[in-house]
Amino acid sequence: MRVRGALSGFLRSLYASTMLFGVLPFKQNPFWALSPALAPFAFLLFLSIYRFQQVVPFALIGGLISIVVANSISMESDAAFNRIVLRLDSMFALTKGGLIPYAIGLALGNLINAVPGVAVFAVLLWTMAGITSPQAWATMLGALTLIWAVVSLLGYLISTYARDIRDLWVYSPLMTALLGYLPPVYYPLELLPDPFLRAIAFISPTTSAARLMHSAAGLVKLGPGEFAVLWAIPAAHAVVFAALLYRRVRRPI
Amino acid sequence: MYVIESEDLWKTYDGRRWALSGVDLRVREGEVLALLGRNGAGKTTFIRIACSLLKPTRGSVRVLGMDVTQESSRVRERIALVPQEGRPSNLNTPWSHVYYYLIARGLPRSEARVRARRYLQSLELWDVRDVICGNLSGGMRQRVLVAMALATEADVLFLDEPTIGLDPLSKQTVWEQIRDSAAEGRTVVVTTHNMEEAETIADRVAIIDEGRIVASGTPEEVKARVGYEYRVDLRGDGIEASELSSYGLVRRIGDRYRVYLSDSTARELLDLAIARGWTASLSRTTLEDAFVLLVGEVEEHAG
Repeated sequence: MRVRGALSGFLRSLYASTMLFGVLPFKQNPFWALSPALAPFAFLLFLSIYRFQQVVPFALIGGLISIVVANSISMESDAAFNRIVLRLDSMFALTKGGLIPYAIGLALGNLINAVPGVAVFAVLLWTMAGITSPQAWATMLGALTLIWAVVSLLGYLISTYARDIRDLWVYSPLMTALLGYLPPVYYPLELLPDPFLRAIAFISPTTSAARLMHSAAGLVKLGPGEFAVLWAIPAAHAVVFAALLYRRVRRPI
Repeated sequence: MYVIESEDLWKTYDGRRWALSGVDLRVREGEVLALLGRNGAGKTTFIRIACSLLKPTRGSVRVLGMDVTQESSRVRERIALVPQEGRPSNLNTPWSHVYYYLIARGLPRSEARVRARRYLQSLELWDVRDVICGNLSGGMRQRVLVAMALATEADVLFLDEPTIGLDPLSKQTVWEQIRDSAAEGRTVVVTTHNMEEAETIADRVAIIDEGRIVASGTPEEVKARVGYEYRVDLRGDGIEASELSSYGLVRRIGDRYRVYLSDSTARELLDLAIARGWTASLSRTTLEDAFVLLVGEVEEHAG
């Protein structure tokens, strides 16, 4: 009974946070969804104009990942804004479940901004690259969900170090580039010339997720046991970021 | 029964300076306590520790009988806070702030709707309930946060400068709501720089300076502590502070002198003022006077 009550309180708090920081602001300004989708769309346009048809599926998968990364990393500025400027996090610390449902609600709110861009790229992936298998889509959805979780955790963790909201203005684009564009997201891992570089690429959780998606779309072939390892790497990222975050927020100062 | 009890509470942020230095404070059920102090005196630090948002360096705070460090989750369910310099989100409306905050606090939707309506009405925000906060005045935005906290109907309310930036009428509206909350049995701790506010709403006041409680009690008790019942403000030619000091405690404020004195000497000083042709006004010592004298006294001793 107690567990049920706690769960119900947690879900209410999560719902309230998602509505306040995601759904309702999105209704006020749906254009938020546009900006993170523009750069991936430009990539796709260039490749199509130059008739690089064979790399279009990579551009579409890369686009999906970039959109989710850009929206998820904005968690850092949202959480810092609520803490430093609005000070609403102190009020939400005193709700059912405390800051955990509040933070997940913020992350879900950012995901809402990603939905239109993801939907457009998913339709293009379906029609232009012919990816129709439910199994492939399940893998892609799982990989994107993992990226959302890992990058949101990282964003929240970074936000806890910010002293001023302007501290973060530089980090969001930087992290988007480091996680959403530079790793082998728009191209296969095999194109990295050096084995050392290929290993380094896995520092970014998006490398594993992208490789899972490339494989699900039939663009690359995975080695034996690689499938499980690719799921485990971003999951490990999530565990590490969550542990670091827990240490930061469980009892401030 | 004491709802809030702090015992020998110490806090340092950097290991060198003390934000709180052995604060002992007790607040009874249904009481409004005004915590007065200058900027950086330690008011917000006390509030944040009492709300379990900050860890004390030494000492303890118990809220509703629970240790805020050991039982923070249970404490948090029964308290609410208006944070200092807090603001609602510009993209949400007063209604959505209050309603969804109540949902987050665990209230069923029907009850959240009823309470959101009641508190938006009582804080005079009902007519603008569907206007996004970005289009409201600063005072209205401030009242949205107050409505969020009061609508929780938590047993203990911590309001950190809830009326800062409000016009006089809005302040009175908030004061009324704070008094109503106390009348319904809730305990309220409010920090303020506004002595009129403290005198109007507080059952007891505590003056904190450099992390120490320098005086506490009812506003009348704190005023009595300074030992001067009246003050006389004087303006005119040829006023000498040395002459006035035989009547009481003299403070120079710009081009006038303020003399704190007792009942018997007040009349004598007024007679002197009339004889010399000075402009003089007599009034009772206010809480602000007590605050200035008590905090000034601490500074003089420290100096």
